[in-house]
Amino acid sequence: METRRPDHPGPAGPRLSRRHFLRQACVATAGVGVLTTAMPFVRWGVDGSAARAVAAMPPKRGGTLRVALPLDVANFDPFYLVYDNFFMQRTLYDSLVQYDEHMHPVPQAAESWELAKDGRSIRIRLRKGLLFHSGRAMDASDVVFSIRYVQDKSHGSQFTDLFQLIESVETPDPSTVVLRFSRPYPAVFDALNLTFVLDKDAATDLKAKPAGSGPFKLEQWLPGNQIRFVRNTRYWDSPRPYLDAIVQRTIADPNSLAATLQSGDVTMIWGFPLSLYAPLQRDPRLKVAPGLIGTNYYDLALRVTRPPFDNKLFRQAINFAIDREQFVKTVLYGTVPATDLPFPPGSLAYFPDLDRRYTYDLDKARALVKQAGLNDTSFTAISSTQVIPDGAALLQIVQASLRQIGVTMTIQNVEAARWTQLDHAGNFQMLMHSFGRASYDPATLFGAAIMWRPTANATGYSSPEYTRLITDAASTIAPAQRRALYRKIDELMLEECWCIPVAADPTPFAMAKSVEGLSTDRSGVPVLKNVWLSS
Amino acid sequence: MWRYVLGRVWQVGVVLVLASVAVFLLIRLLPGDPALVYAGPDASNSVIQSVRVQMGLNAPLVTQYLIWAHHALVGDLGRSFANDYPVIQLLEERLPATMELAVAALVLALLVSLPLGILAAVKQASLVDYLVTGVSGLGLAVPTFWFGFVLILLFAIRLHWLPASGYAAVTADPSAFLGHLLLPASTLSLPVTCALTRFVKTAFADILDMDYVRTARAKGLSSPAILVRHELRNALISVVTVVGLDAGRLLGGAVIIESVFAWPGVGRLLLLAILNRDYAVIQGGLLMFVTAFMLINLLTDVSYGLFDPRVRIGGAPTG
Repeated sequence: METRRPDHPGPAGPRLSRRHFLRQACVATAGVGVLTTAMPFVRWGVDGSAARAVAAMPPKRGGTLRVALPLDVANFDPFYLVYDNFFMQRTLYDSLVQYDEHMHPVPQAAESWELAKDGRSIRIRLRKGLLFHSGRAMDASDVVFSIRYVQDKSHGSQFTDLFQLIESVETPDPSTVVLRFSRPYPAVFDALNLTFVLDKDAATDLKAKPAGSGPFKLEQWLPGNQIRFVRNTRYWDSPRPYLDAIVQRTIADPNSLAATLQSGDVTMIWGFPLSLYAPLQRDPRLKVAPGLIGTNYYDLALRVTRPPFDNKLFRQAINFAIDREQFVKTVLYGTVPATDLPFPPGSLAYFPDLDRRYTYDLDKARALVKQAGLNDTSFTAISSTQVIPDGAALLQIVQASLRQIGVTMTIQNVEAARWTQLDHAGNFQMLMHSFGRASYDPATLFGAAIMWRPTANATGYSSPEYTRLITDAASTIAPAQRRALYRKIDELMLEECWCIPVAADPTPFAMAKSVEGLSTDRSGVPVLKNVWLSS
Repeated sequence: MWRYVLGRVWQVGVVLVLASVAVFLLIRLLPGDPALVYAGPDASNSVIQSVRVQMGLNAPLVTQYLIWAHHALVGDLGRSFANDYPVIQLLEERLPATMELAVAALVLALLVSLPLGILAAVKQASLVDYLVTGVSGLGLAVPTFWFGFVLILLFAIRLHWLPASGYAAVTADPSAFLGHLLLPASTLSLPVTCALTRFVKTAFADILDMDYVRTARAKGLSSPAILVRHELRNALISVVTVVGLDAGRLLGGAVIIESVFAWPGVGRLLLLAILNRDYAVIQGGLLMFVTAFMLINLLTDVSYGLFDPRVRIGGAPTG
């Protein structure tokens, strides 16, 4: 499962997840997008003035939020970042900091910090009086334990790479932690945003028992059926949380998920297929939103060491032959914009003048195919509807366009676990793919995402220039210099086209109109401590 | 009779051992790597290798099988790769839900199909017969998940009489349990009810023409007595065989219904485990299903003895 991904977790693999089932999230990345009419990247399906009027009301205490998701929690390890676990993550745990919608770190378990000018260390003051669910007060040793835990590769965290740069952790006093890095680390807040503080005494079996300090406590887990969270009455961020309890149910079938919301059995669903977006939007009792946009992206990965994709001109031709607008309009129901770049607007690596360099143009595609000498070429594209349910539709759109310019594309649909194997081994010509990490610092995407990292890249792409640019950008502190480096990287990727972004991949929410205050973190993960029920 | 039963039990044991080997090997023949699925494709090779070691998958296959079989013999089916939950506990928690659904569907199917089938057989070539045969034919043709959605739409969304999905434990709240059970059980029972109705009708119609029935009538026995003592008893031998097969089908066929109605049963657990290559859960679950099928077959065979004295005496079952 499904999973199965907002902040979205990017799919990356086949744990069953989200929209149908499989969708793995490999998220690991990025900022806070608050789901209200005023927030960037998010659109509510409600009247703006009504939403503002509600926003002006003071939050009300009490009530139970009844939620249904397509997948049960995978486990209670907050560092195991797959879609299945997102709902539980900021519900049961606190991280050191949490990005706001502008990617500014906001204090959580960390109260303040001081980043060294050379970017090689950070001194963090911890919040005093923060109590774990066990009743014990957090101190520096818990932070050390948590960092060591996520660094341990056998725990299989999807973003262990972010923590491998931490060379040493010092605790000069019980309220202070000093992290030292092996090189300047400008993206350090990506790691701190995802440093969930574990109760070192209680974290004996994180797969089955949580050990956090979050706004809600786990009361009951019936695997495959439901989870009940209750209010942490000693939460540091009083008067939050507002809700008395949250009940999370597992409903795998997307139509049943929608039916259960419409029948009033639950008050919110998350992670349903976009085909249900419009019908739910039409229901006057509900409001819907695509969630934080720009955390995950659909892409076509091209194996550059295999014909015909060893020819750069042919890869560029493919990029011109993708009718992104049609895909966005017919398959994604216009919920997101089309794009050529793997970052949302606002990212350090996003440049509006570079985006949409590849607009749909079959004449240009035909000319490039001819120039490459690859007329009448054929190739196979691998897809898995279990991993990326909408991917098959995108491939069919591309297939129809390519047919018009004499290129034959065969689509092969494979099972999720097989897809993951082919993905990881780079065993494909073209792969229908999707990646997360896009809404965080660009260094986080380039550091580990399989289609973007400079080494062990699944497309087989590598170049000394790309490696140098990625390495320099990841260790340069001055933002202006970093941005200049990322511009060069963007230009290089648009020229080389080994991985072609198509559009953002949203994970939508739908809920009763009484649900107020929902926001997501920079990964698109719901932040439930602000949620309240208006009536 | 006892010799017959003991012989069948011995066969069950042998089949289980063979099945355990087959299950163990077959899931490892499937493409896909549990460690890679768990860590995700972005994971580096060193992370995947660490996870693989943690899962115990780096040992030789024979060693892995022997360790698993040794533990299975003492009731330990291992732990889920995903959440470290003991497999036996996962199955224990999920099995009651699947059994409740299957039993409820079977009872519903019998309650509906037996009287309707008999009625259609007795009133052959009448309007009732055509109606029963026609409706049961239609029921067989309807996809069950579609029928499930129609029921949800009608009884949950429009009328608000029953919950759209979910589960409540019978011990916690019996009325909520029944409310949640009704729609999935009805949906699951639809194909079985329709098939069984047609089968009962055919089986009964055959028996109505038998010499011994005519003789019983000639002896002046009352119609109810003929029905119970001669017709029903003889028809039931073949009906029981079909019900036995259907019971197995209900266990296996519940996967889709469990998904549609969010019923936390074993089918859904296994489906997810297969997709995630959670070997321990797949092995344990499949072994349990094989055992359940074998036991149902055993019970079916033994029940022949109740209906057919020739089996009790030592002959082979004739049904």
